[in-house]
Amino acid sequence: MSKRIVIDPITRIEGHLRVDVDVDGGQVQKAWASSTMWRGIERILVGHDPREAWLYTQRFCGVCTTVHALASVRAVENALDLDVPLNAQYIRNLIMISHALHDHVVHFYQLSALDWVDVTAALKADPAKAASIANSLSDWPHNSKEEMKAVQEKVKGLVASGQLGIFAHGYWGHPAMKLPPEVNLLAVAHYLQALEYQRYANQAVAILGGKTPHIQNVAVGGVANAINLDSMAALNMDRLYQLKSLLDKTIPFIQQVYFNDVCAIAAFYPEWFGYGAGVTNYLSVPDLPLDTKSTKFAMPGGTIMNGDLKSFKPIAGPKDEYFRKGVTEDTAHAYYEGSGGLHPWKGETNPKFTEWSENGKYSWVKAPRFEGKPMQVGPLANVLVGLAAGDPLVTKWATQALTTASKIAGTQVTPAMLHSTLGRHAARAIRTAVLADHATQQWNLLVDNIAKGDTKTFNAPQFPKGEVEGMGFHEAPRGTLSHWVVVNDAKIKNYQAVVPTTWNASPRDDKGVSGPYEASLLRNPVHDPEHPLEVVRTIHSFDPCMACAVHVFNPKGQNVAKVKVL
Amino acid sequence: MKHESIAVFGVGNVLLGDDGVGSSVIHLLQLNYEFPDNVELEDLGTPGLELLAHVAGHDVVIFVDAVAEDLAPGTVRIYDREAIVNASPVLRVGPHDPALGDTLLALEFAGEGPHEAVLIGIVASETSSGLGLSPAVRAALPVAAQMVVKELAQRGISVTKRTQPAAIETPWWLV
Repeated sequence: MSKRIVIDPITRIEGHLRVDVDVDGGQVQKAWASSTMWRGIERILVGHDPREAWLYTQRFCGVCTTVHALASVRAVENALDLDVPLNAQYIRNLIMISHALHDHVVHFYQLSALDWVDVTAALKADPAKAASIANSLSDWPHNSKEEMKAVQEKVKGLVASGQLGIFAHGYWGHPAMKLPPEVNLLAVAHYLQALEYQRYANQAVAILGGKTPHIQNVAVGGVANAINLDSMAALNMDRLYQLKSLLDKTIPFIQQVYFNDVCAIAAFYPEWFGYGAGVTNYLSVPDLPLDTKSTKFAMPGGTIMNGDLKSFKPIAGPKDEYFRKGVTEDTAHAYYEGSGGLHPWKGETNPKFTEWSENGKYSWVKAPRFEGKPMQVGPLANVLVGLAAGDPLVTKWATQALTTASKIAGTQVTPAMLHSTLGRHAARAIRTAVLADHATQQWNLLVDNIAKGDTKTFNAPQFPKGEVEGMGFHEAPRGTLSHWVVVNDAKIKNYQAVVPTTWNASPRDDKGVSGPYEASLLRNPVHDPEHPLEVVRTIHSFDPCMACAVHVFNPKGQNVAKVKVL
Repeated sequence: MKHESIAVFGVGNVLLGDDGVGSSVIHLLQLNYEFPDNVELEDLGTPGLELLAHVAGHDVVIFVDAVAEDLAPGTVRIYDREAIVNASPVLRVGPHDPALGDTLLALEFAGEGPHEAVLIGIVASETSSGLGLSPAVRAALPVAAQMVVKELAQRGISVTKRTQPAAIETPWWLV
């Protein structure tokens, strides 16, 4: 008989992701993904000065702050056809990369690794063997037997205290946990190291952006950083070398530790390369602009349909009609008025709440479609598009990931296996390693350009009388983000943000077609409905970021039912 | 007792009504008081995963945030570390979930956590989309600010009330 499981971490005010699945025969047969909170923040922007929109949009969400700032200024610049000085492009690129490095590392160790790593099993590990596995994968200097032993003692202390603290949420001892004790120990050791290294990436954002999490230096037309090599108050060589040293500390952790941890963990869960493909249409936009008109990019963009890399169609830039005309948002199953697909410039955000209804409206997330089709966005889309476009860095790191995982697994891990739950984790590690290489390249480009005597960072925007439309996109950590703005007489007339999680967590559309979360859950195994670790694994592989907002502290959090079996 | 490093962090989303109260309390404190160098005041807004980077390395952390309690809106309450930790979500789904409690626990395991953490909570009334605080929460701003000053005083930190408000820019969300 079919069983309904509801995973709903909602607290009284806070809005989050809710997942409902019907399980029969130990497998998910039907799935619904919904957001329990109304976003609608875009409506606040109407009537405001477009030059200030980024201040508002970067407060949409606590996790993806800088990304909304960047997409917003790009949208307004696009509406004005305003050039962005080269220095400003490079500075923004460096902010974007540093933010992404931080985000991906923290996501993996803080949020996702615990779906695969059994912390308590690390107690059974042989520290010498753990060290030797680690040393076979990289030259990282903090993998010694002594260091592994010290971490094991820490875990021992935690378990002996009877309180698992930060790890109390884990599904310890779940039959779906399969790592050897030594790999568990290695992962815990790197979890601790990640706390240190993510801080360097965060400091890199702060050097350029003024502060985190809400950067202060962007502006429509460039950045507010003054470049003056002779001034202490401006961006000078001192600051640039501080930034370089922070990047130089972060990059090896990503390429030698995080990257190999993902490959090693993946190698012990080969069956998870077979679950969670879901929607295999992929969308990724080009990013890291290299010229003032945003026509050349260091990272390619485009679409792939039905998992076929040969179907690759490039997106040249923000002016490419293929992207500008392709996007619509459908509200047939979302708590908004209307139903049919509207283009974002014509987009409406008029709430119409009804009770959660599996055949009716059930989510606050709209259903974005590209030429009428659901698309998966995120690191997997980014990596597959990079491979299809023949990007050398993506090809290099993807090949290395597959080779490393194959070596540990003792079987061939193929590119086709990337269309899966585990493939999304592997792709995130590949993308992060690629971005780390771009960090060095962008730093060099910035310094070389300043050395040529160019210190320009800002072009003042001029707003015409009447109406103009603009679109700014950004390939954010969770995937393609686009902001769409209509400006009339220098005031915002309409503003729509089509965010990555909207693409992935999309409810069914008017044709009843599911989005990536829902589709990826079908036929996922569920060993124990009370502990649906497998469902959580697939959802986490997308790196969901739903609520984009509320942080109200709920002292009763513990008492709220999280998993309900109906 | 003298502490090396104390942080007062306002947390919350200014675009969602009363959820932004933490940011407003920080602004009020900066406007009306002078703090010694070892006290860091910051409006963190919605820090998400970046909270780890900000909390690490401080001896004492005082959070100011909106709370969901069945009490009159605007009521100001203080929560100790245990209450913060116990309120962590049982099952984390998104990156928003490792909030205050999980940050403290993660840093404790790493040996980098603050010795003390408290939360000054203001009971929210309206947290739907929109700028501005409800009247009850607005009225609670000075009460919450006073409570921060009192918490600091209890830890041997004396804060001077300014005779004139500081010449600082009003944040855009209060304009």
